Amino acid sequence: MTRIKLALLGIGDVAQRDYLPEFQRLADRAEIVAAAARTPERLNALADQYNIPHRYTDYHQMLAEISRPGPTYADAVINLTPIQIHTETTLAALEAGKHVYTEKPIASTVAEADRIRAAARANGRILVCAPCVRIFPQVRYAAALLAQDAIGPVYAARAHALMGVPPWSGYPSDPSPFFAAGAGAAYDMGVYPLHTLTSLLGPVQRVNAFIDRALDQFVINDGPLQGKIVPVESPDNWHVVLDFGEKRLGSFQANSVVAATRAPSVEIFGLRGTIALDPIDVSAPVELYTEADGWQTMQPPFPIAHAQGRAQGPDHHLGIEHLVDCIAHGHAPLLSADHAIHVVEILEKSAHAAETGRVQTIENTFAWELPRESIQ
Amino acid sequence: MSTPLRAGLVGCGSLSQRGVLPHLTQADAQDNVKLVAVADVVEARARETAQHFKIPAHFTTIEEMLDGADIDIALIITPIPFHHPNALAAIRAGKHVYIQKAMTTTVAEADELIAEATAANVKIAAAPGFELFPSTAHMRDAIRNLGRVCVGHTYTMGFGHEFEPIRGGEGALAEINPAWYYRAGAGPLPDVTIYSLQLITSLLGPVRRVTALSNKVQAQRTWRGETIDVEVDDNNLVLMEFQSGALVTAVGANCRGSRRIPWGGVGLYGTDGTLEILDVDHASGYPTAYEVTTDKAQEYTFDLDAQPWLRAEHLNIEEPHVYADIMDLAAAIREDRAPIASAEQARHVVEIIEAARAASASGATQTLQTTFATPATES
Repeated sequence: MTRIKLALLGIGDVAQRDYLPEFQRLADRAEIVAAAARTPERLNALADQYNIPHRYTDYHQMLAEISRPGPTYADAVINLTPIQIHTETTLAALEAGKHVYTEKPIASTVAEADRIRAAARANGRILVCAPCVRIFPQVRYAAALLAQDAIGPVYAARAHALMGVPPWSGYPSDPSPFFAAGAGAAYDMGVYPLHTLTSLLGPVQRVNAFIDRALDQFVINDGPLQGKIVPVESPDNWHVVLDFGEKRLGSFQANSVVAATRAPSVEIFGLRGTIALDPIDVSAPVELYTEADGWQTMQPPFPIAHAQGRAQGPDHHLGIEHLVDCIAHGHAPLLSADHAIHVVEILEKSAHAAETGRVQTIENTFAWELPRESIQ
Repeated sequence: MSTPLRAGLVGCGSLSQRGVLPHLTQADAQDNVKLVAVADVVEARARETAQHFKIPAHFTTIEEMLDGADIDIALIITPIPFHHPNALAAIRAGKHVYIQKAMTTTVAEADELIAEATAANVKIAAAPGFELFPSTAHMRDAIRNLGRVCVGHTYTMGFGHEFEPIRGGEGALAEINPAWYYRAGAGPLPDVTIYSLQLITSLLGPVRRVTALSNKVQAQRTWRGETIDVEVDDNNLVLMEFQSGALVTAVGANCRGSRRIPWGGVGLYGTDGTLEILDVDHASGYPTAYEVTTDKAQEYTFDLDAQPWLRAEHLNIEEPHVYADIMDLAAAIREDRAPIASAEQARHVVEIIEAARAASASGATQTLQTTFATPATES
């Protein structure tokens, strides 16, 4: 069977930490034939380490080469670039006729994300959008618990994402991009709890929000950039209320102003019980409260069918496996552009609600139902 | 001790039967506050309450009680929508008042009570007074170590009164209809979420803006085979922006609890650390254990008798916080000082609830008009 050929666009922290070390899981089904990055030294070092034959410092050149039949050809682009250039790069890859896996968020605005979705449709390409939490085992297990009515009717939910209070002591590179305009805690981290809540409860119908900027700037306190002043250009404290319809409400926070919390990242509250989970760390337990049994802590592996993946941290590589599955079988992705655009619209409309003081209706929805997988 | 102050109690329902009357008929309480009259719109309930608790006089309205009994304090323990007319009548008759939570259904009603009490030179104590339990001030001090507190959560999930065992018995003292809890002016926000709102405003000070979402999950409830139509929204999510800048959610819903924070608990999250309430005394709602995490975690615990009025049998009788509020009002009258359970704070909390209802009905974020003085905003 021919292996699906992939081209990597961007080899920053996330590529090195979460994707490249895991890629051997796909070795019999896919191969990385090309990589593009701006820094040739890092590009060559990583390409050597992971046996990636074709290397480009200009991604346009890579797209041209991987579109040509022959040894440089690739079927799909894995887009791991910074948030600010997701739109430009994903559009270029789709228009070159490539399937695309894009890191989160799909784009910074709904308008840009719409163009990306339209380009995927127009070119008949598969577009898989991170974050992959909907197929993370702990989220699928929570969904299976909900599907079997473990906590009764769901009335409420809460979820948070903490980006950490700057300066991030010990952070190995420049943290500025995380605090730049268009980034910030909500777009960088908030998509995890929002994808989790919407994976478990379905689309949001309305939002209202308070959004503040608590810190204007901070000073890097260690490392080679010690003393550098970093402006905080994006709001750093988002507190959003969500109406899921069907009598279900939720609250969501994303910020870089909270040092720590021992509250669960995500909690789903039902009439007869509560489910608590961590949407990012696959090694974290799922906790279930029921009136009959009190709190029970379920450790992974969870009793649902899933392949052995990463032992801890976020298993983002599941998204690449999903892309390869979709290409191989011609399936429409569960990690869909529709879901990703829905989440971007929640953020965009939350900002609008905070500005205007008016509740906002969410217009972009996505196909959703609780998975019908059985607990073993 | 000097002569006991004389009190008349209005509203002989579940709270009075389970909590207020058993507390106030203890010997140590009677040295301080002597119950001389009770009133209830159900004549048999007023009469049987007076017989059962050996109270000299009973009436069916506050007007009759004010005419027929010589009292210093009126205890307003009626359903919430009747707090205002009963308290107003007592204040205009020159009586001090204790008002159960929520103080009133609207800020306008609370404004009137405060203005009339000032004019009549009488005192209002409005429940629940979290300042009466020492963990409140202790937590407020701890918050100073958390850096800038930007985020908070409060938890008061679970709502319903038809299951209370007392309502299952026979006779006028037991067949107490809970339907009002589900009608206009009541619901989970002024009934249970109010504990969170009183506590968190004690910790963080006043709120600047409120928005909220709400809906009605359970359209009907059943009590003694009788169907109660639920008129108010029973699923509420309130988002508050404090004057301090903190953004805090409060829930009023019939769900189960959170993994980390117990019912009535609060989590506060700052740039330098975290404060989470780990245990709440179920009878009083007083926080009895909390943890502060900065560089390391430190837990603090409090026993219920850290409240000086709560001794001996008072530690075993339900609703001890109501008793403490009433005893403090009596002390405030003797010492001619303001009661600790402040009417101004209670009015502000009424405004939060009123604003949350307006926000969820209209979709428009509400800016609050009232404020109150608190140690959280001083120094």
